[in-house]
Parts: sequence; C-alpha cells; structure tokens
Amino acid sequence: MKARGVEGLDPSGPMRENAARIVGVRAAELFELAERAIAESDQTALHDSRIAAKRLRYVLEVTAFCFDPDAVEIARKMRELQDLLGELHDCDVLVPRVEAHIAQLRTADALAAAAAQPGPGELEWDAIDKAPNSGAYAGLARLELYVAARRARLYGDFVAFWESLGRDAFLERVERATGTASHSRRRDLGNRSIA
Amino acid sequence: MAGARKIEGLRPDETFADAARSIVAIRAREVLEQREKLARNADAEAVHDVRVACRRLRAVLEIFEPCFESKAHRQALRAVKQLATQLGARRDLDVHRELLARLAAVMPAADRIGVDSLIAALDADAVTADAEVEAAIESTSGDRLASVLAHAEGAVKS
Repeated sequence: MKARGVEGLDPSGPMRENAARIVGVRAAELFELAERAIAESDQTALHDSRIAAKRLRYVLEVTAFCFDPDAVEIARKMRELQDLLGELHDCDVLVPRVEAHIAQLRTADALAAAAAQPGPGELEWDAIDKAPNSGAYAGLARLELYVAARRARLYGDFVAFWESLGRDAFLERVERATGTASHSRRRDLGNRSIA
Repeated sequence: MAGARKIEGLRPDETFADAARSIVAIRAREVLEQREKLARNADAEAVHDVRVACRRLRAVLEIFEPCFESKAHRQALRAVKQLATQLGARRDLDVHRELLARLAAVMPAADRIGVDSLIAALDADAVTADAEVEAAIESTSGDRLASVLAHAEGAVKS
C-alpha cells in the first residue's frame, strides 16, 4: 500500500512541525483503514491497517522526542496492533498454503492409486487407502479449520483492541500528543465557517 | 534482534534536514551491520534481523524523503526494498514453519502426519528461498550497498 503524501513538509523547517504533519497524516490513514476494516469486513483494509500501523509506529519511534511522552506510549500500542494484525495476516497466508498442499498430495495420490490398479474394472477403495499420503488428509483438514478459527479469534482481538484505543478518540489522542489539537480545532472551525 | 539504536542529541527545533542526516546515517549503518552478520551466518534470525533493519531504514527514508535529492533517494530506497524482498520468501517460510511446529507439538498424534508433510514441503521450498538469500548476499557484497547508502546520506539538501 502506497503511503498517502504529506503536504507542506519543509527540509529547512523545524523537525517538530514536520514530524507533527507526518504523524497526523499517518494516524488519519490508520483510522480510516481500521474503521473500514471493521465496518465493511474489508480484508484488504485490514491488511493495509497493519501497514498503516507500522508506518505510524516507525514515524513515532523516530520523532517521539519532539512530542508529549504519550507519543512513546502510542508507538508501543502501534507495535502491539502491528503484531496482532501480523499474526492475523500469517493465518490468511497459511490457509491457501495448506489448501495448495492438500491439492498437491491429492494429485500425487490419485496418480499412485491409479497406477496401483491398472487395467479394466472399477477402482478398488483399497487403492485409495493405500495411497502414500492417505494418512495426511484428516490432520491437514483439521489444521485448516484450526487456522481459520485462530484467525477469527484474532479478528475479534483486533476489534477489541481498536475499541480500547477509543476509535474516534484515537485521533484526538494523537493530536494532543503532537500538540496539534488546537490547530485541528481551528482548522475545523475554519472549514465550518467557509461552509 | 536488538532494538533500533538510540540516536542521541536530536532536538525538536533542529531542521528536518539535519535530523534526516543523523537518523538516516545510523539506520543505514544498522542495515550494513546486519547484512554482514547474514553473510557470516545466514540463519533464520539473521534473515529476520536484516529485514527489520531494512524496514527501519526504509521508514526513515520515506519520512525524510523531501530532504533528499530525488535520484539518490530513489536509488537507496530501491536497494533497501530489493534486499528485503530477496529475503522475504525465506522469512515467510520460517514464520510458517515456526507456527506449524508450535501447533504440531500440541496436536493429537494422528493429525501430526499431515502437518509433518506440510513442514517437509516447506523445507523443500526453503532450498529455492535459500538461493534467493545467497543472491541477496551476493548483490550487496563489497561496497555496492554501502556506496548507494553513503551516496544518499551525502545527498541531503542543506
């Protein structure tokens, strides 16, 4: 996922102001993706949330010295979120790998069973039972189910974690930590007056 | 891996470009150090450590992008991405293998036959992934990676 661009960065300007701009954009990016992942059960948004959490974590780790001490705590929370979504992602990658493995074994076993009983006449069930991988399928099917259940539980953990961050209150917390809360409020008021 | 090295002496009021210079230099050095460790012993931990160091460097290159001359920045970012990508397949296998081994240790014995067959398949895939790790070590050998990163460090706008 390509990171959203940050407007108004100035290499000759103070670190603190530039960092606050980046943190603000990265936090908003994560907020939108996480909300979409929950509201629409959007798997892409879920995995993009992991990348967004990672980006916010790294920018906070590098720039926390510019901000309120809570910035360090937010970075720590982002690491927890990133780890949680990483485990979830591992499940999403592992399930197709298990399925592909089952398909490979099935192809090999079908050929082996056919070769074991050449010639005319109906294929005996015995040939299937004697196929080289016949003992593997039950365990793989249970593994697939296990990983899917693990994934469902991790998704529940993600929703609970996001709730614990306060959802809407998360952006306000980031703004307080970076000292941009009053600027945002002024911007909001400005927007309203224009409308 | 050890956490990222703490960068001393940074101040909120120093310029974004000055901060870029200090931070990128240290993160670049960490990549080169981890890459050296990988060249000495390409085990799962070393692969992981290089990827983490690459991720950290990539993050700061992206954060400080406006501070760099664009060509040098692009080359450094590409080199770091490529190194991380070349190690990605092996890392994915290591992660899955570790998870499966953990599950296999507590699952009923009858189910273990299937999981063991999957672990064996991952081990077979690791041969291909190891070739990519070797390619990554080779493509960054000598001062090839170091010179790209040093060039980027020197290309911070003043």
